[in-house]
Amino acid sequence: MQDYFYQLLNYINTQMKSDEEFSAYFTGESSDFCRFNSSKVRQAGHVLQKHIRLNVNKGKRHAYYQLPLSGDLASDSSVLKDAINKLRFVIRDIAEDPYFVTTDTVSDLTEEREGSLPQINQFVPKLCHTFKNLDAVGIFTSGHIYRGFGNSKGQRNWFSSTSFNLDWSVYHDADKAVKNNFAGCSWSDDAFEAKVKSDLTRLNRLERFSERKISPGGYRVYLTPSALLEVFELLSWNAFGLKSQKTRSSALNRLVDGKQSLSPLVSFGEEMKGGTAPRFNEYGFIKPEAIPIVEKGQFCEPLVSPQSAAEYGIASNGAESGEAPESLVMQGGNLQSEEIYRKIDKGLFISNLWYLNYSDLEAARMTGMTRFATFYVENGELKEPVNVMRFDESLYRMLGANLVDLNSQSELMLSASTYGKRSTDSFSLPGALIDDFKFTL
Amino acid sequence: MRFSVIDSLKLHEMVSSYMGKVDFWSLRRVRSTENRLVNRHGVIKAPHMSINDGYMITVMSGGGLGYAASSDMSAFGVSQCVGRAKNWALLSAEYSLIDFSEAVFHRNQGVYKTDLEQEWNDIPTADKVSILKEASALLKRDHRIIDSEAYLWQVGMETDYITDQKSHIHQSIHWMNPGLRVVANDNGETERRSFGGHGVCRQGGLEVLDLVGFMQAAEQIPEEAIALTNAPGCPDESLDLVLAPDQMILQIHESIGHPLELDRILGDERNYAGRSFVSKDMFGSYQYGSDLLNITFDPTQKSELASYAYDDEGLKAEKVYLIKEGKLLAGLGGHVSQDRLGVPGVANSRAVDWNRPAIDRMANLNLEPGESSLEDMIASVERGVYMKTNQSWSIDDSRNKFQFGCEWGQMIEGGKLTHLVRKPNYRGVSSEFWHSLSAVGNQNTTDILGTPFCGKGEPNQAIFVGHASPACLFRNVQAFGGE
Repeated sequence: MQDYFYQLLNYINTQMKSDEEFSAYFTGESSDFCRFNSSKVRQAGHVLQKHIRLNVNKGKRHAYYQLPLSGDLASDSSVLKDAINKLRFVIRDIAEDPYFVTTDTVSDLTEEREGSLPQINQFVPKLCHTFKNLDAVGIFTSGHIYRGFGNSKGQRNWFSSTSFNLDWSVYHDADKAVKNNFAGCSWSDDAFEAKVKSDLTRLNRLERFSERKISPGGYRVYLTPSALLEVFELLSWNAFGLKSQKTRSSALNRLVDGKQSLSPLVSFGEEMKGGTAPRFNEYGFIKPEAIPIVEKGQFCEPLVSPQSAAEYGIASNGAESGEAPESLVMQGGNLQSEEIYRKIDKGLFISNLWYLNYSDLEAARMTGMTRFATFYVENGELKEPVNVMRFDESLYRMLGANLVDLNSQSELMLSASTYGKRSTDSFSLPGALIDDFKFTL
Repeated sequence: MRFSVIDSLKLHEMVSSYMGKVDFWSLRRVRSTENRLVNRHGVIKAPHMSINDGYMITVMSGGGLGYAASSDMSAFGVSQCVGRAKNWALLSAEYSLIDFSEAVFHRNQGVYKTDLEQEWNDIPTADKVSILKEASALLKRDHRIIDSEAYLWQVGMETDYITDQKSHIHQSIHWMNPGLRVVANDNGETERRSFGGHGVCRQGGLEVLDLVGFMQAAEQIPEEAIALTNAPGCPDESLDLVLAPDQMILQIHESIGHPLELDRILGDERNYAGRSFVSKDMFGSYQYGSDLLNITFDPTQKSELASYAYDDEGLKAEKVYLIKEGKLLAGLGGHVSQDRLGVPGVANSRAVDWNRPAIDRMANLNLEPGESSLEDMIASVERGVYMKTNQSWSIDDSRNKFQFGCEWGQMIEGGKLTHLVRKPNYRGVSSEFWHSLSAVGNQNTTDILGTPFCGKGEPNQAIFVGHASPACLFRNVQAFGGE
């Protein structure tokens, strides 16, 4: 795949006129998807896709064209030739883009993450057998992911990853279930079976105890890393980017302005090492190893795309155009895992949150639901599952004044998102013990 | 720009030559073009164009189903794709949740085409840039508007669905999403206004801009955003709500559309998008809402976003009442889900593109107009809020406990509209909320809207759906504001 992409880059280069430049971003995958419900196969198949997004510029006048690739050089070259002509035609009629920037230097980078995937023909029977006496629902995704970049200056970047992502939940009844995930580059039967075993422990509690109905109000809660992930995924929409902050559209504007702060326990940032995303972005800018976003509760740096850098006169740190993190890491605290229930004492253990959105963007106030296994805790012991509850709470309280502690151990979670293509994003987060977390419905 | 030289019938022949004996197979080829042109606060951004061309082969064999998708139309590529689909069908047969040997696939021939008056490429780029420049000038004319965006997003999709049983359906859908948004900052407060959120989407070409009042909106929304910055917050109390169509679409989408998806009721979505409070036994008897509530699946509305003649599994699409006078009659499920659950459904098995399999989706889901004028609805409210344009949406995984936030609120006091309120939000429970529907607006209050981003499925897919709705009045809903 890499050789093929580079052949196409060489072809594009031959088509450029003396006053033209190009850049090209490649995305591809060869993925198996096995969707299951009630521990049986619901819908399964394979997708092979390759796309190239070509940008041609004359000075600061430029346009983009995204095309599918067939894999046949003659055919794809012909399509690219047409695309270049179309781009030339369009560029004629538009003004210069004052925020158009290209890389100053040529930074070649190749990263290939090998892995070992289970053989599908053996894996599907194993999956169904493992879940046979359970009501399991979810999806197994497996295969190869590719990203590439090249430009007129000769920059060549390539990323490939052999990886899998098994995302599932095991249901007891109605909305009572335990959720789990196993993802990475190298499959391990032992690791998978250990996760299923942990499901059974939690499932057993759902089966043994009837639901306890709780009322709206403030509760001490522990958010597992999976639950806290939902908070950060909401923030990733718009909170961390320079453009959002400059246009007062960020949920963290009060933090950026210094009017409010988070707890000194809270430090997080973009850290490429240990993540699963490529180091180069869609414009060929290389991301630094680490970008501190918040340190000890204070705002440090935004994520800055090349376009925002040009617009606001701040150096880019290689963010994509959406200025969302791709490898977010949050530092842990002092709470030991074995102490969680005791430290909750009386409150809720929340495994997952769901469907978060802002109720007041400026106040970083967000609403959402509990989901899957949420348990009541009393006298430091895990008790019954509770009814799903809606919360409405500000980030400045939940990770600010009301944050009691963070788990000392963080958990690396690989995104299971497959909108359009398999995501390479990851989050490494601890759990959070929070006081007076407000439920409204 | 041209697509692959291989036409769909030729592709079908190629697939057929490699297929061998199976119980059933289909080819769904999708060719699409997309254009985005954005003016951000006076600066035209680089145009984005795209084409996409690929196909999905679905095979049923021995009771199993498998699919494979690719954009490689070479002989080698097609043979590989066929092999992968067959392998998955055979592999899943022993473990399949559904016995596909019992599946019945309809044999249909048909064509659908969006009525287009002004195609995207009929208008030079320079002229489209001028339209956005004019809109942008209107948006940012006040210094208190600190950010703005005017954009045009156009999509054209040609789909061919051809089966081994001689079905051939060709559909050509073209839609436009013209957008406007502003951010106003005044007196330390920031507020946002947009042109229906992302909701102003219709089938058609550039003629849609005049139909939806694009330039008029560009004039109006900055004034509204600035006015909101000086408004008090929405009160925290139980109030009557009059919801405009561009909030009704989210209310319908989240608390009627998704809960009625049959695959959700069957449990297929429980790991991701969730389940439903609706169960099989409710169809035909459950009183979903007040007797003013009439909900239709209507693929026949020519300009509505998700109009079509057949779904992506070849089922002919017709208008169906899902809820009539408040009673639940039918669900949103294609023929496979209808057979699995044993309840009536509609032709709504859809895939976002060639690289995702068809699943039960909303298409056009509408609330049928009633008899009330907007003025009469407002006059009937002693104390309430008139809310416009959704900006926040959240609901539980069974589609019951919801919360919505709107961009714009205006108090109703003593039957009259009074002052604006900021950050109007409300929350409720679906199974109770629709019983508080007290008046349904007439055709004059109705707007044809939609969303390009309805997400569900594993693997995930975000598809376009249409919603037409009048303004509606709800009694005694818990409303509240920001901090």
